[in-house]
Amino acid sequence: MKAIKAIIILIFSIFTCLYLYFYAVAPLITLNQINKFALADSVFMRKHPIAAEYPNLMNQLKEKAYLDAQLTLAKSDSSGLVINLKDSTALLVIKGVTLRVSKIDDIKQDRIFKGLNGPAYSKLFSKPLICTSDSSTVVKAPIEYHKAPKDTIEAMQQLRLPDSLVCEPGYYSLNLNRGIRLIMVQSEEWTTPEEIAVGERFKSDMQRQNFFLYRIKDLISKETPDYVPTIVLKTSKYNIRAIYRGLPDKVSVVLTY
Amino acid sequence: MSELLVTENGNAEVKKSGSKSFLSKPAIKFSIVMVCLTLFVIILPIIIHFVATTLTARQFKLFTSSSSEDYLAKKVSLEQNISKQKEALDKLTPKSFYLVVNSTDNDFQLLKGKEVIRFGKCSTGKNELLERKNGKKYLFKTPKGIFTIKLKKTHPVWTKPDWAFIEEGLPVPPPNHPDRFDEATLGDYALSLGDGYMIHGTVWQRYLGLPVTHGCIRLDDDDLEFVYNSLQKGSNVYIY
Repeated sequence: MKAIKAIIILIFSIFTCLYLYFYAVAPLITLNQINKFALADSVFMRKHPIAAEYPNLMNQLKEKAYLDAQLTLAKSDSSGLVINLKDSTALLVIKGVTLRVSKIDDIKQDRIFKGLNGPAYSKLFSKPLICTSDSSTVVKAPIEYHKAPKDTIEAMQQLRLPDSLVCEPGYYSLNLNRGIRLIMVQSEEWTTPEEIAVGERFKSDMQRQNFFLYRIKDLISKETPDYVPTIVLKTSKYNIRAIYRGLPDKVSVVLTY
Repeated sequence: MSELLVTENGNAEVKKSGSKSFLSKPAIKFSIVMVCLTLFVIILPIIIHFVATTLTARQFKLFTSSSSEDYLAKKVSLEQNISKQKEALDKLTPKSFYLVVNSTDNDFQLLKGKEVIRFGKCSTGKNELLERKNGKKYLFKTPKGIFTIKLKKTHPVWTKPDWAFIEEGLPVPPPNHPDRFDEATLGDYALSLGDGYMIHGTVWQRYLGLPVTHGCIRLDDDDLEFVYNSLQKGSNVYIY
């Protein structure tokens, strides 16, 4: 009996250690890597000496990085996404002109973002982040196919009016090039079966990020933990649909917080 | 359950009644250990995470120092730089009238600088691909991006393209056939965006707010007149 208890405690302790390692240490390893990486980049540090020498100017540095990134984005001919977590707004912009302002209802951001030092912040956010892969429940270009009618009778039969009230569930996930993940999810309740399915997908995505069983899988398969700093934004599904359709295939994102 | 008993020699003693306790001492100890471990598992990572990220953030601040003069000079320089950047960014927004069209929700905003002057419903492309028997395809979609007003017309006449007949199941007339010319459909004004795309009026005003057009942007009569009078040749139209 004692031996069984000891084994249970031992297994429990091992799992505890693994959990501690992956839940608490992995983000710290990532944070440390990002901070050190920026400080080690001598070219960048020479260009941005203030970021390293004057940490008290962090607010100004953040604002400068935000404006730098927006001006770079404005040089592009494509539209882009500007996320301002301070103002709780998501803007769709093109050539520096704001096309749409969407209110963000709720923000969840990993604590790692608050641990970034000045150089790391400037290095990450003073240029637009480029989306490397994305997924969404919204159809990008909802093109319907029709065959030309033979005569006026068939043409009348083909007549239809779109239903303006129908809106797909809102979920849009972007993997950005500097190891950041941005998720936009609808702030409305999950009511329809399609929306509930999307809600489940969202939950499973978030569990994958945090759930320790996945972390253990990482331990077995990889040397370093697969931790991706994530920001989750909740906004109306109508905003998500308009933003997603307004953005090009290769999305640029400017972020500030 | 326990009860107080008085023995023959007058001493009082406590006697435990009933059977043996449900939980034995080792089981209680084991449960306490497990509860502690569970709490440890839940709370400790959070504490470690919180403390470590806070320390890492502060660590950088603690080990970096600078003289106050240098600091102030850099602060002023940085703030000047920021205001220059803000000006540069503001300059990108047109100071004159421009139109922003949302082809997803089928609405529009007429702006001057950052001020919204007028907003309302419109109709944009129905996102339909029409295919003829001979394989020729027509895509009815409003293009996205930045456009400029190329031409302004009053009482515009619509020269119907082939697809206008094909879509209705009618035979396609030859070019310049009288059936091709329609004086009523486009309303009182039209603003050309190039490539056959226009901002114009509509006789089907009840469909405003719905994606029903062949790629053009339809406005109601009042909005169209206001937009026509506000936008000049060369004014920007942003469609997303």
